[in-house]
Amino acid sequence: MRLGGKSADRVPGVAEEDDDRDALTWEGDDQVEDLVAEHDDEPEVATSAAAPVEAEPDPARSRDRLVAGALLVLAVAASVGWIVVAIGNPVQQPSLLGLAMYQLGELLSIVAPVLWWLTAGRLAPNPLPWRLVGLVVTAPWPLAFWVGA
Amino acid sequence: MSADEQRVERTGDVAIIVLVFVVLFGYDVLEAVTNLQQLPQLYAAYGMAESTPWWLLVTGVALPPVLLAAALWISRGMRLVPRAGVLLLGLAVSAQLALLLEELARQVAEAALG
Repeated sequence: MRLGGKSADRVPGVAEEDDDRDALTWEGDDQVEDLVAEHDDEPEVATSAAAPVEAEPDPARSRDRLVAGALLVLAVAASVGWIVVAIGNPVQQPSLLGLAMYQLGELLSIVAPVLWWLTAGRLAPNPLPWRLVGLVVTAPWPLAFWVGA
Repeated sequence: MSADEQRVERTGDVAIIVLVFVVLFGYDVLEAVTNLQQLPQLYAAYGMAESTPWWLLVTGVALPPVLLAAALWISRGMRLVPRAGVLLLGLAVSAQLALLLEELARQVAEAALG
């Protein structure tokens, strides 16, 4: 079976080989191959340019991430403290609305330390001082008064 | 619509978010005012009216509006979600301070009762 051919006027033998090549190739294939080869080179250049950046981590950034992680651990510890406060709270509410709103307040108290940590990281250009302030403000202070009493 | 035009928040959306948080902060004020009315009567009924922790009761009424104003001031000009986040954080701090004031009032009452 022939895939293509218009070689009625060509030399027999040579013409058949040419017909097979004609059927499997298109005019301009060489240019496409050149173009693909050019694009294949680009990622290698980009990779070689990016490699030194990955190889040398910024020590200041690493320290900031370490401090942020430590502050997140403290924020989670503060949330655990607020869970203890909520469990030990003897207040009872007379109405369903009062109970729902009171428990919403307790839930917000529990999430506040981590919420402050996230909000500072999202909004402040330099979140470290804001996160430190948040640790003081959202600390489970009622626990401290329980211990002191 | 360009990316810059998408960043502009609609005034109505902002107003709805602010209104929701005004209601929630308002409930905190309502609770604090109820405490301000009823707790002195309770102290008087137990014969220790002079031990009423007025400073705790007044602080409880004043804190939610102050925190709401601070959250609104901090979140001015922000997009909708960060603004809601800051207001939620203000409400959470208000709830924490309310629990702290309750604990302090409880300890004042226990000290007064001996």
